[in-house]
Amino acid sequence: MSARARLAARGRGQVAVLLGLALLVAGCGDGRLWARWRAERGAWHAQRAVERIEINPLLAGAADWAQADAACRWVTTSFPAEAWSVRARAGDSMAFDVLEASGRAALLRARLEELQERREAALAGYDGARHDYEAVPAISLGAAVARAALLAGSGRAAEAEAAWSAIARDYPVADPRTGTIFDAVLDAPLLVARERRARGDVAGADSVLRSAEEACLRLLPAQRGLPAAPALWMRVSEARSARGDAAGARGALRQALADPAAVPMAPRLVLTLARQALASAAPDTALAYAHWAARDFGGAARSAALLVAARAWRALGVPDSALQTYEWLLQEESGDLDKAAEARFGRARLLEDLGRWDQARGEYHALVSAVPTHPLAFESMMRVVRYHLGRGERGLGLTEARHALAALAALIASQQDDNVQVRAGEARARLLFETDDTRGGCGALAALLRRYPEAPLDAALLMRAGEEAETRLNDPDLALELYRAAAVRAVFPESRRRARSAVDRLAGPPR
Amino acid sequence: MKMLEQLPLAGHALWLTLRELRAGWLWAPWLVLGVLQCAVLLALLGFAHPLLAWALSPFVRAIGGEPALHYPDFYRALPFLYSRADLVMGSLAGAVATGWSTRLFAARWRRETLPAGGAWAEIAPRALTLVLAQLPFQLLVLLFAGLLDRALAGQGGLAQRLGYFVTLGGVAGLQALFLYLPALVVLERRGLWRALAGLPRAWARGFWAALLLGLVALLPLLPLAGLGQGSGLLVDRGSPELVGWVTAMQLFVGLAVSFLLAGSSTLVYLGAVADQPGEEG
Repeated sequence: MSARARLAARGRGQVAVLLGLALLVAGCGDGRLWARWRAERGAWHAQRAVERIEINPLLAGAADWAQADAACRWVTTSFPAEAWSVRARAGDSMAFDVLEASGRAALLRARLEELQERREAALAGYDGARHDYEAVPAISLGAAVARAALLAGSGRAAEAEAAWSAIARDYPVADPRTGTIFDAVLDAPLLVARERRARGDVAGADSVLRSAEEACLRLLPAQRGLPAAPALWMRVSEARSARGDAAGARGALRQALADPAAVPMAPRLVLTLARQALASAAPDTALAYAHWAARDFGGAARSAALLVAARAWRALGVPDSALQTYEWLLQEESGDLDKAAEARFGRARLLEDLGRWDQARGEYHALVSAVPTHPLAFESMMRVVRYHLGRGERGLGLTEARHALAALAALIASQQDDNVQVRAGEARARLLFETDDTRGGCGALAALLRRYPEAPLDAALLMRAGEEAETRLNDPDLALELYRAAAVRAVFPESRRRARSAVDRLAGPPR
Repeated sequence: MKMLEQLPLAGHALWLTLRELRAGWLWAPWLVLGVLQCAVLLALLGFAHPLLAWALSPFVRAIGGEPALHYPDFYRALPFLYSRADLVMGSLAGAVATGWSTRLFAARWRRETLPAGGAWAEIAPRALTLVLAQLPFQLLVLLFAGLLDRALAGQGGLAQRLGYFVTLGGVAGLQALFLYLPALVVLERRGLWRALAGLPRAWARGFWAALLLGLVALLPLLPLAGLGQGSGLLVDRGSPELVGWVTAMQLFVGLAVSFLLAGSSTLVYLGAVADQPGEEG
């Protein structure tokens, strides 16, 4: 063999060895990145599939449900919690990410059960996720919160209260890994207190609020300068406010403002100060804070501050300044339709109270034309009709009601948004009741309930409709349907009890 | 040659090159480059696989940051990641492919018969010169875009948009300055320094034609560049994988544009820039 041939053979050998080494390195490559990539991709696609169903579960086909379920299941079975929890607890950050993605998929599976009205399965799913993904506090907490919210939505108030209490007790206020505040943990005692207060247990509610406040105050010294500090002060303020200590609540908010970490939250804090001052009958103070917020912060904060300022002027007995403030807000055209609707409605109410009905009616009609799908537009229709009927101007009232019903019918026919359909349908039922068309009102509500069984309708309206159906229409089946819907939706225990007793009365003994 | 003479010449050269789009053998250099670019894009898309992660994840992290290692944030960074990888590819394989294509087009315009392999054999020994000769262009483009980005950082939308068009104009201008270098290296068989020294003559005879060709070549890339910049929107709207397809489309359109630019610049070079018989000396 010549020297050149030997050299060529040696070169080829070296290339082969290098290739072999490269393949060896590649073959032994770290699979964790690949696992994380697949888990995140699977969880992301599962989330998209569930979000598509959430838009309108009634329109989702069997294939959509199956696809979403399969997408979630693939992630949870490919990356089981028990296997990845061990690695995550050992400090492997990629394993933690995989576990988080798997946990998201587990939550989505429970959410799918919830969307399919299988509440027990959903509760079990959330409960399982809460335990299985304890190594990822954000996921475990998400599951606990979803479970508590589902229990509350199902009317199981005692269990919901226990669930919120457990959240406040078992979870840290901030993510130990990222430092992100867990708002749900801070809010949980406030929700428990609200539930107790609604039950009439004022002492119990105050006790919960006091211990929540003390817990926050204990945590605060260590959190100064961190994002958690202003959030904790805000909860202290809310707890004090719920106990009726308005001055203490404002003091806590001022403490929050003084914290170095409060800069991003400053608009919200100043606005809350203004609102709390207004709510506690201190319109001068409210005006000062509202002017501060309107002057120093732009966008949504400025619109909201102007609204508070207008209300404060009104509370101070200076209606012209209030009207002028509403006018500024409307002329600024910030693009915030909610605030514009609130400003127009507030101005109409003020004009109505000042006895300038013609101007007030013009504002109500302008609001209905400008933002016809806004809840305040529906409220405006009602106010115009009620005004005339209340003054004994039945003809005018019926004419206004006829126009409003025609507008609502056009809206229902043209809008595909389920939320608008429900709100417009509810407004239509109210108008029919206002004009003494009891059968029409009850029928409208019953039709809504059949089309949207989960529609968030007003429980008081349903209760009234049930009573009308039972007493005036002598239609116990319709009344039972309406009472049942009222019982599920009632927020206050007394209303819930009344609705349930009506259901028991009509459904209990065989007729 | 005056500007008013150069511009119609450039237009005619473009038209004649467009008519050669179906000549398969003229595509050989760009097909080879396309295969390499596709391989790079596919490798980037599969960067997380254990076979590639050891080599590519450090690159993805270095260019796109830690979030780029996650799904779907990787797709937000993909156009930028690919553009950085393609910069290396363009500086090396792209420079050689341009020289190879220039030789093939020169044969076509001179009505010579030269197979793709024959052209490759001719230019292969000059590959390093081609790479080094085009390196200043690549570096200047990078420097120019980088400086402009830094100057516009934190500026408003109008300044950003203006900056985008200034960048495009700058790239077209730089391209015009260096457009005839491959022809000087391949067709005049000049070394690196002699090729660079020949540029002033090329500018005097064909700068305006080169500028027009450069500007026309940018046009098909503009809409796709806009799509690439909207990668975040594509991800947010629920189609992260679409960013990969848009990048692939950019790749294919870029190859077609390079084909047109190589063909038309070679024709302009032969017609206006190169010394005609009897002119030299």
